[in-house]
Amino acid sequence: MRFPPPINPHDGRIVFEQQACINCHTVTGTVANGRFGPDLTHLMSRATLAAGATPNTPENLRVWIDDPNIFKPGSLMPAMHLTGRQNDQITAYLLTLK
Amino acid sequence: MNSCAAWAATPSTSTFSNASTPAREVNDLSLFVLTISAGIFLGVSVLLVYALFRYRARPGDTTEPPQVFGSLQIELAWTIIPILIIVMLFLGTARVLFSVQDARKPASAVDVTVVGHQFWWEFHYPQYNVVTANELHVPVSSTASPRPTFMKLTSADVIHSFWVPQLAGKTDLLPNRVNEMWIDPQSTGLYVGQCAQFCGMQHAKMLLRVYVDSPEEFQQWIARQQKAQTEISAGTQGAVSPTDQPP
Repeated sequence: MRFPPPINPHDGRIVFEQQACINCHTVTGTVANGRFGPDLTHLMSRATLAAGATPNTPENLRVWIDDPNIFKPGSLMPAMHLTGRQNDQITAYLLTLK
Repeated sequence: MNSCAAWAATPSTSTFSNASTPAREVNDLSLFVLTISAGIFLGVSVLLVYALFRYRARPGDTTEPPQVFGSLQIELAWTIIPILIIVMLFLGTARVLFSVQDARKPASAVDVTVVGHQFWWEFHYPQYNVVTANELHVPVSSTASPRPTFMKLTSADVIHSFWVPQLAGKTDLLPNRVNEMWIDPQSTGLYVGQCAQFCGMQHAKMLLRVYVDSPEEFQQWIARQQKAQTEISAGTQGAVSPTDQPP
């Protein structure tokens, strides 16, 4: 019996940088240098997500990435239709941006 | 949600609970204007009720009341007194306008550029080369060591308005134009506000948080924000090895 490998932030970073995330978001020191969305370099230093729409908890962060319209209908960030595993990986990566 | 307790403890958004000079000056002015207006309203009301009662028609009294055609004293009085009141209101308003809008920026001031977006806030600290979003951190300012935050505000798309009621009045963020405002919060803590100009579907959730930090906390926050993410990841996470860094 084989289990999928554990979620790790490094894979999340790869997904983040290979998807459209980096077109809009900046993480200083990486290839992500988009300007349409909020700078995520120190996302975890913030108490809220989506301009105060919801508290910045790991669960909320994952829900937000999965579909921003849940917390903020009409948000200009699109749902990227990633797999659950990719969402977990991106969440794991973003949680390291302290 | 597990963080509901902390979430529920929302700070005041009352314009009467001032924590910064511009907000206090505008609040004092509005109370001054309200006091004068209320005084006039009361005076006029009392005189009106008195006249209505004192000179009411009584049964059997068919005499004509005295007919007055012009009175220089009365006309002078009701011209000059309102002019004096208007001058007083004008001077009070002008004093606050100039003291808020033309305040001299001290060398110790922190500069912040605010860019409004649908539906979030972008904050630049040009002195520190820091960019962040939605949660503004500013140092506390005291009379002994004033350290106000001077903001330049503009918009990347439509018109927004920056409003943290405890700190200052609203200032609009207009595309292709730079507006200015300043705050000098005198006690540390969290102050909240929101976009005050309808800017689209998610306007209602374009919220604002201003953290007023002690000088040390602010310095630490700035130092943290100045770090590029690779420095942190390489040092503490172990997940991203140095060979993964982009050139």
